[in-house]
Amino acid sequence: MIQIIFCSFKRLFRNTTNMFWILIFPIILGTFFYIAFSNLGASESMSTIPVAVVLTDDYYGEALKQTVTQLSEGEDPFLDTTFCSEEEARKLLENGDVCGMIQSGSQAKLSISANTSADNIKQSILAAFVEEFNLRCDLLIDTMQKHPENAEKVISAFQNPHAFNEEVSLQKNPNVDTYTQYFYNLLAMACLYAAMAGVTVAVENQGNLSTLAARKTVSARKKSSMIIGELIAATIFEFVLNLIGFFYLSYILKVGVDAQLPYAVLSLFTGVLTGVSLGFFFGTLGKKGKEEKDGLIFAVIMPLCFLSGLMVGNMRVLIDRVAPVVNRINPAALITDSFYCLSIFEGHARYTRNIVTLLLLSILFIGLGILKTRRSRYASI
Amino acid sequence: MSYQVLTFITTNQSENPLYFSHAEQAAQRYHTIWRLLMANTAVKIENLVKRYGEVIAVDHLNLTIREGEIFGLLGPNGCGKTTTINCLLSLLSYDKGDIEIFGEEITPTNYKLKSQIGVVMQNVAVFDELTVSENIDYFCGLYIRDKALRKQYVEEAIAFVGLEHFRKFYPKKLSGGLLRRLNIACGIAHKPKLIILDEPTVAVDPQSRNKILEGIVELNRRGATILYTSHYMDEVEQICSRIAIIDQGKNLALGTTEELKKLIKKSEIITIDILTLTEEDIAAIRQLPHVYEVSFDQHKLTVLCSGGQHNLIHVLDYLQKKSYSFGYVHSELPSLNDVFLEITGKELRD
Repeated sequence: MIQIIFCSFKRLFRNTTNMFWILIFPIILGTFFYIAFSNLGASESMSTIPVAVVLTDDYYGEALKQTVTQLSEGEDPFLDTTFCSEEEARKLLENGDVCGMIQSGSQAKLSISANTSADNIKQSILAAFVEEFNLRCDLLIDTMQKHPENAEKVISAFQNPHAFNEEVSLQKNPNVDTYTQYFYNLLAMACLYAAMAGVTVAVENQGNLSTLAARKTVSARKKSSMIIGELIAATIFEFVLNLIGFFYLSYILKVGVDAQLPYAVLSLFTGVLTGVSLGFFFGTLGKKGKEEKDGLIFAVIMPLCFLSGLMVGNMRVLIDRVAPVVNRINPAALITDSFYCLSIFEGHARYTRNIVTLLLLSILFIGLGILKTRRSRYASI
Repeated sequence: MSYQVLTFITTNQSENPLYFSHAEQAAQRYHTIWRLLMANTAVKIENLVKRYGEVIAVDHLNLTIREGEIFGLLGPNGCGKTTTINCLLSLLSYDKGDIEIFGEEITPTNYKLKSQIGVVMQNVAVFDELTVSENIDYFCGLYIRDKALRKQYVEEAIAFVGLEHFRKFYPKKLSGGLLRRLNIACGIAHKPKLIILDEPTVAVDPQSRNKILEGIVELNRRGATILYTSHYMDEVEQICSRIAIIDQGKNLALGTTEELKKLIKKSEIITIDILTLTEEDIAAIRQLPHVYEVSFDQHKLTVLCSGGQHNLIHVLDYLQKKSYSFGYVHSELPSLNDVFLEITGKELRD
């Protein structure tokens, strides 16, 4: 069997098609993903909001002035305030130099531009700020009118807010970047592409599908030992290729797929094993040649990857709501979810469930494949 | 008695070089006959029937191949040769019949028996990703586990087929003839006792073809039993000790080349270029001994004889007596194609 394994390694290494689909293509696609997604997060980060403030000569104006002045100070201020007259403020608003115009009064008023290109998020933030400011002003005035002895307490409460919710992370350093999902899916796809090697093993061991297989079938070597040896070689080889791609994503592109590294490597190995066994089983079906079966296995793998969220990010979540059983048996979803679990959860219950399911699928595919290939004689060749 | 002893006895009776050549041929013939007489049965096929749906591919075929012989299976395309081979190798299931190799029933799991068989398929079956030596090593490795022994066998196989200068070449870089040689090397590297070659010279250049045929004879000389299938009668005639002619799955005739040729009426075909010939002369030639058919067309006289030894002399004597001038004279013995034609009514080559 050692000789068969070594020969299989040589053949796999010299097969340029295999090397492209398992190693080069995922690296190229991963690089494109990285280029496409790397700037999306940056655009969502918070920046200082430019605002124009029109003050009145009363204590409402004074309160507003003190509040916005405080919020405009510091290294990374919340507001970039311009104090001016109403006319000047409207001009600034029309020109788009500010996101909004706040006018002081018994109720501070916010005016925003009707321009559709305006930054809606910043306008919403300003609206929330003005609303909160008015609420606190009314509360303080009401307290001073009815219970002036509690005014200090109210001011103290404004300055020391109590949070009644506490944020608890499921992991010490969870990776909550939504775009990392695409890289998990890419790894799952690369694992399942190992199915091509499985198809080759199946076709080359069925005597009615190729002359090469017929020659091997009539030899003095047990078919099961040839099949197992070739499957072992295919799994190890494809795993090494996937590992190279994985390390490229983790340490060159640094996309954060390497949470809990040993478990991540186990996910990768189990994914490759599932891919090879899926291809092996698929290769035993029908009498088509290797090229046709390679095409057909792609036609099977890509929908599985689609359902796990490779093309549409929320697909896996949607499937989980509509038909959760699909995610429980879809190898691409299981591989993706196992990487996801490692980056979000500290415990391994869900991860273990995914890995065990993948292993069971592998055993099932290999078992069925061996049953199909062990046919002693063929009706026709 | 060994080939070497026979050669010694026959060559030491004279110092005449011509006698040496004849003596060696005689020794070879005696050795072959002796071997065949003393041989056990290598392959026995009894009453084999194989159907593909309504089509009967092999129809109650009976064959016995003795150890040490080169047995030819001759027939046109689609006659059932490859189907017979595949049934023999336990690749194909069959509807009826018994098949034994070296006295044992061949089954897919009889690995001990399978280790004694070497197969050269009709289509080239090698790995494109492995070099010549790696391919031979791989297939030899399916039979020989010992690494050192396998290495020795691989080197011998490469030398045997003449691929020493191509050992690091990939199959895609080889010509058709060299590829066929590689195909053969992969089938015989493990030195099997029974070698089955299914049309090994298809689409092969003449040089490679001769090399292949010489190699087969050499393998037989070294003790292998050969089952050789082909639709090329000249090859089969050249190397096979016994031939079975099959068509539509049936065994039509079986025997040596001479025995098969004796089955048909035609034993000699005489062709003479002559300008004119009258009807009376044609009728007269037809009356000559052993002549059964005469035709004259486009200045070519064709005389078919059955039996007899001096038919050409009789015809030429007659023409000379009648003062006919003639040119090209040709006499040939019937071929296996003639045998096939007479038995089936159609040409061997389609």
